[in-house]
Amino acid sequence: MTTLAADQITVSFGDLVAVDDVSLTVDAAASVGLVGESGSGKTTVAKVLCGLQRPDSGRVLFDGQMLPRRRSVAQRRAVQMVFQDPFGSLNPRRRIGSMLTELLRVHGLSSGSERARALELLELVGLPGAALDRYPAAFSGGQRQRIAIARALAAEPRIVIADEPVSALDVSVQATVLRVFAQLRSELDIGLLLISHNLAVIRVLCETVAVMYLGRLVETGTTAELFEDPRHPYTRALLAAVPRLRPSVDVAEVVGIGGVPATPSQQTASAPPLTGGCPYAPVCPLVQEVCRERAPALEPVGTGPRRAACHFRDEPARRMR
Amino acid sequence: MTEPASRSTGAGLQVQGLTVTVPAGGGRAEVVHDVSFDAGHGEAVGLVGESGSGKSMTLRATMALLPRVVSADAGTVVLDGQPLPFVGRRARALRRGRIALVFQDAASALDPVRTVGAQIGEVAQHVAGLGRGETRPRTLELLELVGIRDPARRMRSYPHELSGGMRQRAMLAVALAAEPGALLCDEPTTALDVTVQAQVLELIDELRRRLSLAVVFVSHDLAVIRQVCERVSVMYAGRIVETGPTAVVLERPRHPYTRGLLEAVVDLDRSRAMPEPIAGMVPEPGALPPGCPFAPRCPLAGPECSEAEIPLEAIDSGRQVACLHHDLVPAP
Repeated sequence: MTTLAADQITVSFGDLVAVDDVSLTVDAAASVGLVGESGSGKTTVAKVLCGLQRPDSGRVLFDGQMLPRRRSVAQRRAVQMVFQDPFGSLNPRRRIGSMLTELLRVHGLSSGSERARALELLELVGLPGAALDRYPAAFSGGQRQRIAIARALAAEPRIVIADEPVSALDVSVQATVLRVFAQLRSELDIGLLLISHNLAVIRVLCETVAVMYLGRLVETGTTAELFEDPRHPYTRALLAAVPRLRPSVDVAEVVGIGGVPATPSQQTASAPPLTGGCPYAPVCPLVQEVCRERAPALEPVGTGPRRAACHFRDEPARRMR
Repeated sequence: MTEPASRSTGAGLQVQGLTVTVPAGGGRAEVVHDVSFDAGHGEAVGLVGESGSGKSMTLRATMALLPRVVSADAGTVVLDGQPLPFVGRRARALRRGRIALVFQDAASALDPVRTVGAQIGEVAQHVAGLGRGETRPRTLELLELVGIRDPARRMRSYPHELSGGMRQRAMLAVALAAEPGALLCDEPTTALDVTVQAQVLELIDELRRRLSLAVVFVSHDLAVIRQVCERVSVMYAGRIVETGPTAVVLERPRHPYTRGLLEAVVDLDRSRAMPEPIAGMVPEPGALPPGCPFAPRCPLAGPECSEAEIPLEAIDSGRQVACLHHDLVPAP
């Protein structure tokens, strides 16, 4: 079975540790969500996985094989990326058809007619064949994002990594693009790693989810259990902060106490450097003495497989109300 | 949740019959058509819509900040009983110190080469008319008001030294230095992380109550509007298609577009059900269909919908909707 895995990845930029010992697995036809705020390191993890960023340490494995620093064409084809901005990621001077057929040639996938295959790709993402002869400017944001997905699919990938693919889109077109992603899994057996700060989007598309905070994974598990019963205080703050159509939780109660969660720049600029304690401790509403002394590892909650990096992960009812 | 505010008669901000046009193919096309709304002191009202709905243009016209080629062709803006013109020197002068505007992008709204304190102080002196001696204490007070810790140090910071949420707070402090009666917010939290967004929304809510501000909040995010605004107007193709108390409109929409938006939105409380897209595309200004602009995308539309403009009609307490078939709109 196809699997893309990050194994103990660490990436630093100067003094800043952007990704700290992150392990993550995406199986074929699975959909994994990676959640975190600006500066949490989620995009850096994505770049490492598709070979755009070299990790300082750790390995990227595909089907159990370690991927080399320079990936072969086949290895690059297997993992494709879709970016947030559908306006910046398409060449404005290339017709959609010419862009897709060139890709098919580059990837050596031009068995028979490239144009016929390009039509097939557009159909997969729900666009009419007439789109082949148009320039990107002729399309709306949602349509461009579908073109970007078609471009990723041209490589016949096994895994697609999508970085905030619907954040720039209007509400009424978000739904269309989310449906295309759902279809990739169900019809093409493609594994999806969806990176988003939008927890509602993750909930709709992903079975499992990993939460990042300051470069580390703080909680992983199935979307259902993690959303119903978060065990890390940061996950809980994130969930409480999402505005809802039927508001019930008092946001101030959860987010207000802890103050602003620290960002990497604040950590280096103003906050004292971490000295072995939990990175969330400075803003955690539930902080205890032990949290300042010893950083919790990402360990199983109960008997697992769910994991959380909190000393109090097993006692949610009492400590987290 | 916001508590109901007292709506004193005549006080606050009223916009009536606003129409805004842009040049299009030799003629002019309407991007805002006959839009009216009001916000009393201490009340927050929302304008919600997608790109091209005219919500930002409405806000900019209210603020007399339209680009030169765009013009407000009809309508009135009245603040505390006084009509305000849309163009000319008087238009800006009469708004100065009375209506403030905050944007999505605080980084470009603030001057990058001057400290936050200098920018707040300038407005306090020249707009609110404070003396030199009063400026520093007032600056500190404002920074504290917007929840910036250690204001004496932060007033010496440049915008780039602040995080996104802090910059948004600093922009609010500059806006409030003018001591306005009305605060217009254009997607002020869209670029922020969710935890920071929650804090800034709380802050705007608190400022509204403490300073009795008339707040007009523009957003594409229904859930954000739900959290901040007592009343909401839903805009489509430059018109208000439904307006009323936020809870009522969002829980039981009576315009097919409002319902379509609610079905399309991803909401955390909905289980794994896939959101439903709205068929078709927003029409271009200048190429609006006759009658109801939503008719070509509407599941309930018949030929009668394209015959004539459909006005807003009062259907229940405080709610108006521009739809001939509002009684057929199913619950979401």
